[in-house]
Amino acid sequence: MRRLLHAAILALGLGAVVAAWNGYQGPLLGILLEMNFCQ
Amino acid sequence: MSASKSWHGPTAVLISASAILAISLGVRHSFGLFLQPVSMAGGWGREVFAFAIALQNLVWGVSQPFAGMVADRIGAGKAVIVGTVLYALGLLVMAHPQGQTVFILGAGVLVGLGLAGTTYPLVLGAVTRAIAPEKRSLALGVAMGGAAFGQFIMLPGALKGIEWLDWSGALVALSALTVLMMPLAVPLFERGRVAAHAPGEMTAGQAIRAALRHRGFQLLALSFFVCGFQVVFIATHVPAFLADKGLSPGIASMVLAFIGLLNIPGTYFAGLWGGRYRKPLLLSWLYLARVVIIAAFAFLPVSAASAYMFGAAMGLFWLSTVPLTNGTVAAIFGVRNMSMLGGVVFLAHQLGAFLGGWLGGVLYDRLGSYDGAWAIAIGLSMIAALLNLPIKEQALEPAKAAA
Repeated sequence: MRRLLHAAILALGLGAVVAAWNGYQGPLLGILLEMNFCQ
Repeated sequence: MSASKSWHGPTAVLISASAILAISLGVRHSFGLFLQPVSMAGGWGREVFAFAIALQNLVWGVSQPFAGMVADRIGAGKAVIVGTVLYALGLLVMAHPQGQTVFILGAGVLVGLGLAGTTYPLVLGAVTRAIAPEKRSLALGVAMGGAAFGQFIMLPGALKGIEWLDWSGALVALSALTVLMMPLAVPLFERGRVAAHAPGEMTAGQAIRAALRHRGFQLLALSFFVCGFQVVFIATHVPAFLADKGLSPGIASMVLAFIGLLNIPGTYFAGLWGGRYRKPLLLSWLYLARVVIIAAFAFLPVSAASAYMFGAAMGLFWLSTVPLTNGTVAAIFGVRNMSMLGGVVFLAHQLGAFLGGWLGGVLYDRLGSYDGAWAIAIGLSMIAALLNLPIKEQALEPAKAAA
């Protein structure tokens, strides 16, 4: 049960990272140049 | 283990702390995306939004030690709930601004206070109190890994939100997301951990006086100032630096993405190794690594490949200063006043951050290039590496501190 939970959390986390990584290659490009507040 | 106990046990504290930091810092990380739409909708110049965010950083930094002091006395959980209310209200005000002043009060003051109530100096204080000393550094690394994860995924997430819901709807959605921090705060109530003042423990006043007089604490705060200077200078000015070198905006975006991604394992491993080796020594190595990475990037020929390598390498040494710095404070001063003392070093970080963003621009305007600002970032990093060398993780005796 514990292992299953760990695997589920890891899968969700990796999925979020992959989705976010794709997002960085989308329309975020131009906007990032505009933002001086990201740290 | 009883149900009520497990809700306040170390695992629950760690999961909650990671999730709260992911939400709180992640939402804040996305504010830059709202610069254009908010300014256009309000018919304002960009200086209104920029001023509100500058004020937010200032309010956050200055109020952090006080928020920490409250959390050290009533438990971080209650402080997080108050912070969440302010944060969520601030986001709602940002979503429906009634004029410039109201927007500045919402984004600057309410969100600034909300951040002080929900971010790492305060939350990590609760983590240090809940976790046994031998596992403390690893726990800080895991919690900050959560923060790094939140920052990485929230930026494209918020952008999607703006596409789907418009900027105002996206801010309301972010406000709703912050409300999730309330139930997450339950394990951080710290019943029994902060309530009673045990004999021999320092009061807040004694702790702050002892800390400000303590050489190790002074050196740690100074080096954290350097960290703030570097990360904000890089995040703010590297896109423009790359554009000057003829590289496309897409490359700048990927450099920031690399920083965000590698920041996740960076903070985790910093915490893991902080439990095995001397934390100030690791900080020295970390600042030395930044010297090499920044110098190589700034003064060798720049290409897309070198920019990606810079992003990946800087990411590994990005927020990884946080578990090591806060862990050292806990080792010297104990956990009783941890949120407040973490807040004081964070204030130094924010002052450095302000200077890094501002001075980078000023020097560029004066010199016509970033060379001067890069040189300062490198010089400061060398100094920070040296400053951490003499710091000892020796626990301070309360009697001596109170004298």
